[in-house]
Amino acid sequence: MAFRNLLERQRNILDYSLQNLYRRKEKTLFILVIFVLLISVISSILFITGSLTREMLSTVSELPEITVQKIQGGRQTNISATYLSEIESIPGVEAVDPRVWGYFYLESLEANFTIFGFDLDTLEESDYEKLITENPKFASGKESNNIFKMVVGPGVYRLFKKIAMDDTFLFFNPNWGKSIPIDIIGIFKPETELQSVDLMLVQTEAARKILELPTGQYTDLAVYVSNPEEIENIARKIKLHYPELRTITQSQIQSTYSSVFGWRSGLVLSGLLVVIAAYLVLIWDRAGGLSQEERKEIGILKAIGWDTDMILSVKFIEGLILSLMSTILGILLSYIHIYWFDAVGLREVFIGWSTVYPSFKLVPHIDLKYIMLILTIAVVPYCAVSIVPAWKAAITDPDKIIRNGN
Amino acid sequence: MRYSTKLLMMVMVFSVGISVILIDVMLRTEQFNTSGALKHRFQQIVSIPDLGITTAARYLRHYSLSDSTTPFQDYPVSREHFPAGFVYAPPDYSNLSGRISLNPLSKR
Amino acid sequence: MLTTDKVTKIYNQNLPNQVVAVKDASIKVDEGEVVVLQGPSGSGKTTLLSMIGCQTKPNRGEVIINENRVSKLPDRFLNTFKRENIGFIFQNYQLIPDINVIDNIMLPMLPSGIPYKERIVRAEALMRQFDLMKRRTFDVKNLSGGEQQRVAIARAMINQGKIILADEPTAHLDTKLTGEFLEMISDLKKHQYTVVISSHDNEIINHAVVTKIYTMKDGQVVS
Repeated sequence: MAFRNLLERQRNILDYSLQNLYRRKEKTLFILVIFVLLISVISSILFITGSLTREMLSTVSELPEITVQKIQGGRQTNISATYLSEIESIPGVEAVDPRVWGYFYLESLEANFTIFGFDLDTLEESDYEKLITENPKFASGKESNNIFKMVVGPGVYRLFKKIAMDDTFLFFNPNWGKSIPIDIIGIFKPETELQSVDLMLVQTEAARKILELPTGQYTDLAVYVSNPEEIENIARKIKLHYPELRTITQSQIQSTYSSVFGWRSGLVLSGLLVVIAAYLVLIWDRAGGLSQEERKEIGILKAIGWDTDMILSVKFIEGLILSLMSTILGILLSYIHIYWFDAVGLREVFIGWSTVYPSFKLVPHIDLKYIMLILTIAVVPYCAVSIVPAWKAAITDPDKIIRNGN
Repeated sequence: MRYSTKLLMMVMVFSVGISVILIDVMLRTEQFNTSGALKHRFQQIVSIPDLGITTAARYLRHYSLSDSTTPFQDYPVSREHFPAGFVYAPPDYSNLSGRISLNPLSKR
Repeated sequence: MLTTDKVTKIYNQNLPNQVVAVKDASIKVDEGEVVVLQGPSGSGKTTLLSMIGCQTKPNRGEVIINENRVSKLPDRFLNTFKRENIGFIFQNYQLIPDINVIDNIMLPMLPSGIPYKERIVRAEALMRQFDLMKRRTFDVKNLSGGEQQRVAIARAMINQGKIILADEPTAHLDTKLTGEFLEMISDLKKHQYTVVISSHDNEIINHAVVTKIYTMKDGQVVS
């Protein structure tokens, strides 16, 4: 057959397949909806977990190589300063940074803040400008008179602004006698929102007061190791010499991040059971065989001179177009849902509830191998079950089919 | 119009859609990378890990540093994980008038 | 031009419900002839016609059309041969009900890859000939019996094959429509078409346009 005729024949196959899909509008639409629903929910989950994991993993390399905590009665307790020099003396340890941090729960607002003790004077000018925006209240000329100052995260600032405490916040605890006022001199920039949303960076002295951490005691130790090969060894040594201490390495944190959304995904997927069931029923129905009408149609086509392979091509193309288009549509819709509409509806499941809520834009995470996997799972079985029953009819004598149809 | 022509038009629309998405991905990734340096520096200064996406409790906020044995565990070896109140806040029982008490079991 | 040489068709061979539909049937049809296969129901006319029309292969014997041993051809070549040479009008027409008139007529042309414009030209010519232009976009299921028959004939002629086979074409038609059908057959004969009709309708059997009659009984050609 001439090339032109061959091309036209292929186009005819396409035309006939599309016409068939259009003829059976209701069935086509039903299958389309099931597919799009299934694919878009699965893609949405993959996108959101991928994006959040990517966000988490992006700064893991800056964390201390080993975090050391003291465990008492199975729970974390304060770690004494005496461990500092002992750990520092382990060969391979570059530095040990004792940390003062913890939580402050503001009952009236039901908000939980992270207090981190840090001496702002040690912060370089360039870093200060890069990371922090000056509080407009102080920028406009008002003096910061209190001894203690802090830089807060955007979530904290938003909350305090609501209660008109956006310049000075009074920390109060009945045991302290009097309150501790701390000036909010700056707010962390929005780019750091995910990490800094609930943060209050206060002077270490103030942090100790708020967290009631006595001198000589710290929350934990950040151990820096220059040689990555040595991290596990040093962590092991610490545990060996000090069984009361617990070490958490950077790689352990990394693996926690990789799995933290796993169970939430599973939960949403299990809610998809209905749609998955519908998909399986669809496949089963398709594999079960053609309707009398469809079989008769194949018989007629054979009788008027259509080749078997052309009939099979038609059925294959029908399945391919439907499954491929709906898969692509599902993926596109889920992208729009997650990244343009901020995962409305799904976000709460993955991020949870909180009084201090970060507002942030997810970074797209398109893992090509997952897209290919989705395409394969959606398209291949559906095309296969489109052909098999058609093949049985296509190899039968048209005479037999037509007679049986009368 | 032939059906294959209509399909071609639909494919073109899809292609435009995919192109728009790809451009969007590129722009957002670029934005992410630009702010990356800032976030890295922040992390170096404030060395505690974990994103503040859920701040309500210790085991939610700093899950990678949480205790290895706490309530709400499935089995002893599993690390701490989110308890039942992870999506919706638990109901507020704070304004109940009296103590919650169970009546002592009486022998039949 | 068209001969069957002792063709036999057995359904469900070697099974308990075996049926010998046609046994040792030999017929000869010359070019331009209008031949009728007559006989009561179950005499094997339809089966014989199916074998001539390459819808099924005989268990024994041969079908030879224009010196081609069609019963021995592999499927692929058989389909091409069938398309290019034979037009079949089925009992009950066997049109696709949800497709419109012009698409039904053009169906046999799709495998050959004939260009779209040419297909339209051929289809429209036939639709004009059979007065179907007004109905071209109607779904076949919405047509009357006579109109459906005309669509079936047009479809059989679309590939310009010179052999037309018709299986009980007037089974569901009234006298008027049967007369119209016979007029169309006369027209075909004038244009040198070879027509084989299987029928037990006396109006057809006794019509002047018929050149030869084969009578079948119990699967065999008796005269």
